[in-house]
Amino acid sequence: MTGGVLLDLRFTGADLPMLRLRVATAAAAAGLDEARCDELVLAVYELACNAIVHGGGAGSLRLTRAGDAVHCQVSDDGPGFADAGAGRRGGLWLAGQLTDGVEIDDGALGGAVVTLTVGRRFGRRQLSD
Amino acid sequence: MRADAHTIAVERMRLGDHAFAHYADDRVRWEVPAVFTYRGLSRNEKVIVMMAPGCPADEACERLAAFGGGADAARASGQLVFSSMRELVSPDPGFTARRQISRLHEETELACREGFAGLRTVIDMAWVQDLEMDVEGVMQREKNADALFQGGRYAEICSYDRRVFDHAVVEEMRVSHPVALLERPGDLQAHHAPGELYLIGDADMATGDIFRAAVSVAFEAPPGRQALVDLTRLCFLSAGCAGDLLRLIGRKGTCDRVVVRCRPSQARILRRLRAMWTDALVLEEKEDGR
Repeated sequence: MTGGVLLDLRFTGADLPMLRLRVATAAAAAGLDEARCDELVLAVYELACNAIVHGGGAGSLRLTRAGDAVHCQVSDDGPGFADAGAGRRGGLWLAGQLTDGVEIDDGALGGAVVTLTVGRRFGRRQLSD
Repeated sequence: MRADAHTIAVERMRLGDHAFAHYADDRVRWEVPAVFTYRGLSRNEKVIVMMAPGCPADEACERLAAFGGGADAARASGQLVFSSMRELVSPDPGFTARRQISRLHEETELACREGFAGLRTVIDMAWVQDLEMDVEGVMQREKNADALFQGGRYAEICSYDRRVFDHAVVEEMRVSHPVALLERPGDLQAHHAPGELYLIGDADMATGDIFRAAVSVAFEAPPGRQALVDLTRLCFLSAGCAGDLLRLIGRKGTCDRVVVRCRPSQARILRRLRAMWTDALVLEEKEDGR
């Protein structure tokens, strides 16, 4: 893999089916196999739902690749995770289970920024663990 | 339109499939072709888009590009081609099934010689009026094109505008194609049989109500107090819907045993939610629901 921006877009609830398609297509083009793509798509979907339900009804997604890894950053304008309930943390937990790493930051202008990492060469998590 | 045993979502299409699609809206008409195209491009398949007469290639490319990146680059490389039925059958002035099938064979051979895994075409059936073809002739072609699809190197969507074709014609086309597609990517439809539920499409936040209602109906009074829930034709199963399914299985009801048939990726999600499992649940993994 080389580096670069694969996707950079805003989304609302109505965009979710096409968001999944675009993430799947971009991740496949970046070299992830089908199982890894499926897991990334589900993880991104859970974060996107968080952004829609808890983060003001919309969000932004930025998919990049660097070396052997694909990074997906999902951000929103909501209150962040400081006082997040179980529902929102559940989506975050699942996203962490499905990927190789999750980082949570506060946005520069408020809101939450979550970055997922999925690697082609990283060991896959055992979801049955 | 109702779902049945040969209904799938466009995402599940693969080489060898001959599919019916339908629309009645000028925005929706590009959704299935867009998904079909991008799936093909990502699998190293050549894609030919045969637009409705009067739709320029540049406009079609622009329409597809709105759903994702890469259409322009694929067009420039020759992997994505915009054409029409009139162009395909030329220099013959009119359509014959024999000529069309012969030309599609040639295009498939060409795609493979060019190094692609195969060819997929999406055809807007508005050409029927453009070439003054009678509907019966088209039906005959659709019902006798099996040889094109043997060998798994060619896939085709025939897309019908419900505003133009009679309802009876559209329904006959739907039934006569080996595969019938959901109208839109993201849709969810349920196909019920006694004691069995087949879910098709996307189970997510937008379709959660349909998902829960379909599962509830399947569990109402299944024969022998056993039910099958087949998830293998789902393209997407959200964690929320997976949890809803397990909750409904866990309710006291008329079911003693529920077999959930699913693909390995779906089984992994359900296993993540193992805490919600009950003794009634039997997980049956299957690679593909087609």
